[in-house]
Amino acid sequence: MAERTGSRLVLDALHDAGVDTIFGYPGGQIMPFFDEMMDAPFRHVLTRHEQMAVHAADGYARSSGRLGVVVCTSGPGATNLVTGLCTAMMDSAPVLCISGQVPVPFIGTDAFQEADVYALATSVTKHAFLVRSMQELPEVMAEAIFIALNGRPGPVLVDLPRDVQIGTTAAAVPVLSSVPGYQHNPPVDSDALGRAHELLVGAKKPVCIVGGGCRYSQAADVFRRWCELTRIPVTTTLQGIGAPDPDYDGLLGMLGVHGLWRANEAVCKCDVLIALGMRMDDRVTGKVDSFAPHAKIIHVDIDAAELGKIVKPDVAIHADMGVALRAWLDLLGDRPIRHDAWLAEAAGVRDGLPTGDIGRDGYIRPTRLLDELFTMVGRTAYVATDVGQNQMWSAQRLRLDSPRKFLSSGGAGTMGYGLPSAIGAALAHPGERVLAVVGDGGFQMAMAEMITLKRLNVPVKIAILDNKYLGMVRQWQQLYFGARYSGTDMSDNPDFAALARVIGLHALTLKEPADTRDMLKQWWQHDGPSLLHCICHPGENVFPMVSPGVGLDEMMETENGTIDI
Amino acid sequence: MERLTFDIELRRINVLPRILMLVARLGGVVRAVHAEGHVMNLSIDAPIESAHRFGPQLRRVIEVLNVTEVPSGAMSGGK
Repeated sequence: MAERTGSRLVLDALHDAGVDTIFGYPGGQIMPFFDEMMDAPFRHVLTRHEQMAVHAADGYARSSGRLGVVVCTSGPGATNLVTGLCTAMMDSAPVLCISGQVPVPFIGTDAFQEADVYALATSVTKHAFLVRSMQELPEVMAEAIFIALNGRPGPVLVDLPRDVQIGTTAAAVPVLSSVPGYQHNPPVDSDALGRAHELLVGAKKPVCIVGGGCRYSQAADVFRRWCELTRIPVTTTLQGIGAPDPDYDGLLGMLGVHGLWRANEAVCKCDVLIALGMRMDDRVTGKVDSFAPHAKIIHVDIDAAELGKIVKPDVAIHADMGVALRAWLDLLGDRPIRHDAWLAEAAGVRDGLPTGDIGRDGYIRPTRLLDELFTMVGRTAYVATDVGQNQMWSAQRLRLDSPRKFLSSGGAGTMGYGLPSAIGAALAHPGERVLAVVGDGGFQMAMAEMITLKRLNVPVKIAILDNKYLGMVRQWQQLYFGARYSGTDMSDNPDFAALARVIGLHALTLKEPADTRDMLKQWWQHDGPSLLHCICHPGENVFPMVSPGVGLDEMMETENGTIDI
Repeated sequence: MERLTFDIELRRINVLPRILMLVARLGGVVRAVHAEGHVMNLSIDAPIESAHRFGPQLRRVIEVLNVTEVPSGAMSGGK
């Protein structure tokens, strides 16, 4: 092989991995790489902040299954990655970050823009590498890409010193089918699967929880087939939204702290619980001691460390969810196990969501606005959310036709995720409309990315639910801190539509409840990116809700979801 | 606390800090550690309620090749 620079080697490895887009921000110690990138077949997306580059790459990766790639410089450029890496780590998004670093002889000298990024990244990535010589680079790149994409996916960081970027080598990047010690594709334990099947056959009231594993194992088809054959009621985690067929009559919706009434009730009543590709997050289980109290638990996950971490299963299956379900379908054969009566009972329970007029006190109620919005958008759009009330209201209502279509920071709960991840999804799916539902707080963490959006001119539709508060924190202050609203007032929010127009985006402001349908239509049908600034009721809360420290059987709800503040 | 002792086979010894950070994060207290070449012997006191998490999460670390929990009470003596 001909000699090539370290930068070119990295770019070639990314190209061979199917990467077509690189997000990132340049700076001193990554300049050789950026220079090489100009001659490489990639689209470079210049975000306005490195954290947002990671969120964009994350949205690209989650929505497509391909590797999301970020490049940034050393020091502050790389430290800005940390929240994005943590976000990707918690939700298992395959993201590869290449950070520039000072030349190897300068590492450890407190050189200009030097930071110990390897150490910083270690606790927020699946794996991190510091390349100390050109000889290491081919193997590091092969392993970094393999680790990010295989097994339980996750972010990987490669810290790339400047002298390695410009050094040369004739070495090829190896093609890997495994990494020593890393069991990325464990075989299904047929005995355990047989025990799981027996439990399901004997169950009177089984329930399935499906999580983000369905997205990453590309298991939606096999999962939906398994649901049809078992006729089991299905609830989803936040990351599992879109996994079940949206028309499945046993779909109960999301469970957990802000889960739907029927989903939580079914989990409380069930006698067998089948947890697929999920990690028993505390926002799912509520108080662990009272989680699924009558159930035998079957837990399937590709990450062995998740089995028994929070809830001890009666049957643990360490396997990729799709592989396990294909084997389970073989057991089912043409002998479906029908739980129709229980399915009808479980699905017939109320959802607990507020109803009533869209207007209240002259304001628009965000819950009812989202009901209108999601009815209009349908089931085929990609939907990104930010974090907080906007996220939970969306998750309670959305029914999407693919687990790749809902993008939301679940584990980390990162404000500012919505807009950049929507941009990433739009780039991964040219021509498709992408919706970003954001709150006023989170949007202000990311609003410089409106400039990125303007440059790209991709059809991302931003809906800002502006209630002039950090709404979820305000809700907790109202319920648990004696309505003392410390640090949550945002009554001095700017006119977001005016800001968007200054940048050159199409933007509308929705204030009057009666204008909702017409204005939603205008905004959604605009050809290109568009922003809708919705002035919302300041006091609407997210219900149903499970208070901290109690089980899913202690849900709270109000008649109309609103408590005056 | 519960005493846990592990023999850990490493691909590279520079993964050691990650292992010690993980132990600390899970609430463990390192009682003894010996590492040489590709072998690490680790003895920790782990909170009873989270003791079951140590082995699986140690195995999850990339570059950890193998983890064997050895009978508690003493270091395994290394290799």
